[in-house]
Amino acid sequence: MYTELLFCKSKVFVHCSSKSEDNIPGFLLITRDTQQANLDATLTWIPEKELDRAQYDELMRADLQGVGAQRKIRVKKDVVVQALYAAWAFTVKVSSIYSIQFRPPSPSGWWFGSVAIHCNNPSELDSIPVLFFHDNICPSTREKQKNLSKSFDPFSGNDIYWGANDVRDALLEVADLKQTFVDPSVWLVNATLDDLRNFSADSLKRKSQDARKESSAASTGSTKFWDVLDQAKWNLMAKFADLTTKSTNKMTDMFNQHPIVKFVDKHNSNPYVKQILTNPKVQEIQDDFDSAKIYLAKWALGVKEQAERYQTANGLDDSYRRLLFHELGSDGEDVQLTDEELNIALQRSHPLSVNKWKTFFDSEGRLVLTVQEVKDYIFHGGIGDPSLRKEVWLFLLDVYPWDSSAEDRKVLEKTLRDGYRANYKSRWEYREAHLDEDEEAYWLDQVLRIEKDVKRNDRDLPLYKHNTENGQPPSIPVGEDQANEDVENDVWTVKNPHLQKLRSILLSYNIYNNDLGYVQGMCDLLSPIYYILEDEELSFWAFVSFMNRMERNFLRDQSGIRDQMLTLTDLCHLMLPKMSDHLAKCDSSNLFFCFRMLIVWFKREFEFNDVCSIWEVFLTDFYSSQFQLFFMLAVLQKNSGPVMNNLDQFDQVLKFFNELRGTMDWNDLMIRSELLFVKFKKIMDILERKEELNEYTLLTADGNVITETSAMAVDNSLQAQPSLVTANLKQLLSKKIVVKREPPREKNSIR
Amino acid sequence: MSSRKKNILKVIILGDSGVGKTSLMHRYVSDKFSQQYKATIGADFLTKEVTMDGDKVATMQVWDTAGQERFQSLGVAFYRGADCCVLVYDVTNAKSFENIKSWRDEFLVHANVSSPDTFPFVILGNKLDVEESKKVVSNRAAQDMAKSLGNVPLFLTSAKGSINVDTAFEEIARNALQQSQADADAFEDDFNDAINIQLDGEPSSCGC
Repeated sequence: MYTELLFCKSKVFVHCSSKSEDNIPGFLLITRDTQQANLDATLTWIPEKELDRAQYDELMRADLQGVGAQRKIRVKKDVVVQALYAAWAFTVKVSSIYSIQFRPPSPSGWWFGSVAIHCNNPSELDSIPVLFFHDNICPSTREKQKNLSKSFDPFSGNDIYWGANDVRDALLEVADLKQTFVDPSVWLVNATLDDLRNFSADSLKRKSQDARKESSAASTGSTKFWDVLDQAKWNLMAKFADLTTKSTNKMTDMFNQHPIVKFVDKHNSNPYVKQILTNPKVQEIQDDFDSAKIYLAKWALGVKEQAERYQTANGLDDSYRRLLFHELGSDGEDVQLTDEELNIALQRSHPLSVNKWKTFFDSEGRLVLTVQEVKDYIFHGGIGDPSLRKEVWLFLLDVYPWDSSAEDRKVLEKTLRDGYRANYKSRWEYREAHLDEDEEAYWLDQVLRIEKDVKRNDRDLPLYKHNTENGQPPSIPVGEDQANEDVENDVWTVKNPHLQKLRSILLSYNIYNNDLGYVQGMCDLLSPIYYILEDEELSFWAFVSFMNRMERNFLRDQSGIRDQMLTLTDLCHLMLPKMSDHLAKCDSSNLFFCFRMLIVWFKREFEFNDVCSIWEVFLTDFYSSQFQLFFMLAVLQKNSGPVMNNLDQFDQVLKFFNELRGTMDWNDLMIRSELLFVKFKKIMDILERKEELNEYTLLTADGNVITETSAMAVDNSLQAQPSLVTANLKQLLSKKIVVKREPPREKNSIR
Repeated sequence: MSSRKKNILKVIILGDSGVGKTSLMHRYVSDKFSQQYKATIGADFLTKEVTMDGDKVATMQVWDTAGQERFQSLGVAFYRGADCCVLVYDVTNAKSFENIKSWRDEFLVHANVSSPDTFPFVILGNKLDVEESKKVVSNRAAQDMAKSLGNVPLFLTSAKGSINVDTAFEEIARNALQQSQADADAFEDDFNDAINIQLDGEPSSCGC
């Protein structure tokens, strides 16, 4: 049995006691069986003495030559398996590691650099010793150091190189590592979104750096010492808080026995004790005691709460936070947003990376997280890497089922491609004129409409810009005449291959959904999908699925879009009553000015990339399948001040909102949308409870079952006070998409 | 009635999709043309100060609308208070020409104008710059149509080549002004109406 060696480092030691003769040298390996997912990669430490001569030589060679994702070496699996039985040795799946602390060596050689590994599973905690990197005798590290010192740049600002840097780089190949803000030496491995929120907010990074600067000033006796200390203490504790809640009492007891812990415990509040802890010598002792991590964790009991409080109080951009709370935080009555709700909405700083995405799947390509967790990432951080969009959107747009395996998807993809060509594309490519004259005229009209819009679709984007056969700018500069012909009003032919594909997809969709017909705006909806997937067949199916929820925007009788505008009216009435009143005075309570934004999901209001970011949030249905209405509400809320102060006419209001095009900050609006939703849900809960209560009192007022006549009376009394909780509003709490289909097309209805 | 409502001439542009409504509006108001206009969704308007007969100043509000028929039912809101309606067809597209009449009827049904018989329309045949061979609507046919709709003024224009656009809109402005004055007269005792439009320098009642 062989396994792939992805990484190898020699002269990694376990220090069994403080005596140097007890140090055990070994190899640190990262391996993965062929065909397995990154998630299954394994981190192993094996003492040298367990290896036979051949194995030892092989690993020394691997260390020196360097292995990696590009240069894999196959080794016998025995090497890894042995680790299960040898003393001090361990082997652990990368996916079960919670965090890794990289403690660099002392520049003056006081102590070795070390790595402390923390697992998700507390029972594994005590089985993993701290690893010390004896860089001075490790051939690969020395080699690298030599090379680096040749090109030494004192101003590069990079960290000093040491052995564990290679470990970190290797881990980055198979896992998602995120440096924590509380302590830059601690990196979270495949962190959950909650941990990212708690430990690595970007805005906090800056603050803690500032604090560190102060902290070095403090050691020289600055008066700010106490403030800084408070933060430093928090820094130390917070990173282990989560870990500690998982650890057992037994462990805590064990480390309580340690003299340093006892000592520190006793003098907990003494600043000098804390300063002592930063002394290199003391640090070394701590390291020797193998479990500095838990000694620190001791302090962290119950600190998570403190961490959150700290974060709430200091971490986030205060003025923005206060502004949002002021505007949205409370309705002046029962409803108030909590700090946590504000935090979650505010932290949109963990976009999904390729590495992260890979950690979501097992070796068969099946999701190991719940769909809601994945959607949480996308909803709150979006997709960071544009190249990742292609894959994620296929899930978001229901082309791939969330519970499929890689194999399932391969089979499905083939079926979809064949199906598109055989059942839809070929039906118009090889069509014969319709016998029915009206039907023929209808089809030709559809073709014309589609072409007209394809020709003017997002022509500012590079993909669609040039009307040449390869979509590239013409190689020979075209003369005035030719250029004119190229863009001649309606009479030019589409040559750009991507525009041609948009046309093919829309024509095929016309066959697929014969009742709806082409409606302006549909090309706007297809354009980003095709842009991201750049694949005609898959874009078709993604579009089919997207249209399933968007069809109601385009119905002949406009009932679907009208429903949304009515829902929005109710929503505005409930959430922004003053704005709602004002719009009524402006003759704008029909919210016609929201039409363009709603019908194509803000496609015309934002830059193309922002549109993609907004859509992928909407597509998650994370809170509501109609989140676009909350985004619209956020636009109204954000602009309610200027509208109420300055505008009093229908046309002014329309103009004002039309002119917001290209000026809005979607991130800010998304944060507001989320807060508005959370608040909306609270208000709905309260209102519904109140109404239930009312019904209850009415029923029992005279202790009788209400007769038909008295029920009428009840009805009347309720009419006097119309319920704010409309069916439309209730539907907003649902994550199930609202589907409304065009009824069968009547003959000669071309509109 | 708010004072800003005075002096505003409201003009609505209608016609099939792709005939050049947006282009005409931009050419007239800002003297610009772009190949990159997208299909209009919803409605928008631009305004331009106009001076007529030397001293009458007014603001013309030119409303651009989506060409797709099914959107019209929602557009009713902005038809109201119109002073002139511009019907546009594309000289290279016979269908857009045939639809002129239905656009006019559609407007009259929804706009709720006081006297449909005298309400001013202007017809524009756009894309005049296109080479002759591609034109499918003859001038003759266009004139006949304009006549049959009640001697509606007809202009052949090119938003792209900036041909006849200003002339056409001067005529549109004149028609709109007449209409708004007529409306003002008709409603001089009825101050509640939102389209009671007065011009600068005119007494608030017309003085006759």
